Amino acid sequence: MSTIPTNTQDTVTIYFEGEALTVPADISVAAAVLGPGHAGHTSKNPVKGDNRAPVCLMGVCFECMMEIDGVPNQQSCLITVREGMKVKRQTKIREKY
Amino acid sequence: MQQQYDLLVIGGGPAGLSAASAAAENGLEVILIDEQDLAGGQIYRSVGGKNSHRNFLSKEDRNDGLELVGRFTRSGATYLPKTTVWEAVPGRVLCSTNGKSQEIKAQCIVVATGAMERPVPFPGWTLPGVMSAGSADLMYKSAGIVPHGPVVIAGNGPLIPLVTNHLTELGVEIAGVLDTSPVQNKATSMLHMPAALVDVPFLLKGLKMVVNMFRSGVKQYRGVTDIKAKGDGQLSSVTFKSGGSEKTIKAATLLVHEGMIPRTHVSRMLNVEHKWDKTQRYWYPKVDSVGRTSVDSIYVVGDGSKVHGAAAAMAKGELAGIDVAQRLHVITEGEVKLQSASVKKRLFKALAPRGFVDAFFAPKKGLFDVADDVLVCRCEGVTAGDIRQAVKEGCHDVNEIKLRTRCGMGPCQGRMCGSALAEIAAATLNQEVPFVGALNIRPPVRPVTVRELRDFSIVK
Repeated sequence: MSTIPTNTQDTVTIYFEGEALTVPADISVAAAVLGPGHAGHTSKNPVKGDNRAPVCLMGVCFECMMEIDGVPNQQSCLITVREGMKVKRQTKIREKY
Repeated sequence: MQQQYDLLVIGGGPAGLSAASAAAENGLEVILIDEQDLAGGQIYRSVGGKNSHRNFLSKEDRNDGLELVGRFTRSGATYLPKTTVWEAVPGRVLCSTNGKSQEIKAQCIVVATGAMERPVPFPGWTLPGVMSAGSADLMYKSAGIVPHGPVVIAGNGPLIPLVTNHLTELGVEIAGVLDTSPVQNKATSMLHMPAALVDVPFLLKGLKMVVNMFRSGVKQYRGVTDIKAKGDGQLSSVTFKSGGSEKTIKAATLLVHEGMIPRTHVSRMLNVEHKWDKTQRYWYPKVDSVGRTSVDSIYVVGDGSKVHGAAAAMAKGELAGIDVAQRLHVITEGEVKLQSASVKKRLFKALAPRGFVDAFFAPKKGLFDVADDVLVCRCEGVTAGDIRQAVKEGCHDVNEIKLRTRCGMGPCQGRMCGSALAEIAAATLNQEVPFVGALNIRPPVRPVTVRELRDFSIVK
């Protein structure tokens, strides 16, 4: 994803994997990490361990789940960025049972 | 004590906003719950945002969206954004806002959860870089962000020309459009053309989209099959068959689209009767002319009842809102007729071309005939082969297959694999989809924390 510099920006700074990222204030976390963050993938699938990234950006696919401010399994496409927000990829693999 | 509403609307798109506006304007106490932070649904996503004048490529669409949202804002209905409904029964719903749950009571519920793109598995569809075509449109409308090029767009459905044109206009490098539509659709859809002529401007709009796509000079491939997304942890190329040979295109993003289907998790949870559409191959809640379902006090409107587009969704929502007002005795039958007359005309016009559109974009036969090693359930890692094996071992109902394989048990709760699970199981048995049934949808229909389950105020 790349940003076309059109948005009249109020910006906020979020921390994606510890790196500061200045992004438009009114966009979703998913948009921020895919666009300005060049995240590529946003999680590892807990069963298979392979890289995953958002698919639908409208709350259906649950592939955008990330750890936001310490809370795991947040649908990053449904959450708007906030100043100082800490965003991490979710990489835990499920224990075999 | 918590207030009881007359009407609770789930979903803030064209249908939900129209239903809420119509009911509130008639004096009802209305609350509308929506997952997004701004009203408008997916088609008018973020239309009220401060950058929508730039991010909406069509001024006309933006004005329509602003009018719809403006009317809702003036109607006096209560608006609860960023809120997800995870349980609903007639009379009450449980929902969460920012991780805090609450119970809301209402005499009637209008479900307006809209449509989603039909998820169709293929090799490599879980690779980062593979997205739904609609996501590109949503990303631009809501955030002014376009996908990394080169982009490949693949599938069969109304969003293919739309997204191709939008991305071309935005200067995104499109490496190819892979058309998977069956040739016979062009012929069978013509049978519906006479009815569609009621709405010539609509047909011209569609034609213009297709013509623009051709004019854009984007490389197009017809009769495409065997699409595979390839890459090491990230998409790098797309291979496919077209014109008898295999081709490979480098791609950073693959946008796939195989048509639209109603989002039925909420209507299923409410146990309303659903029916199977043979042409478009989707389940839809059975509703009457004003959106009443088989369950008393529950309505379903908009693309969540059948995918008919935004204009129809607005009319369907409006008719349900008016009907709720009559049901709760705030307007007379005469007033209902007066308010409904022009809406019914709008609905008739909006529905006229749908037979044509549905046939033109009908999903192709064998769309779900994927190889055994293709992942179907993305969350739980269940393959087409696992499903076929379960069928051979005697599981003939999708819910039996789910219990056996875990297909549909992950966080998306079958939203991404439900269609494919049923289609693959039915094909294995040489049966139609209704034979294998549909997944039982039970609350909570969203993953919720134990705290959310525990901490909501119970209204006595």
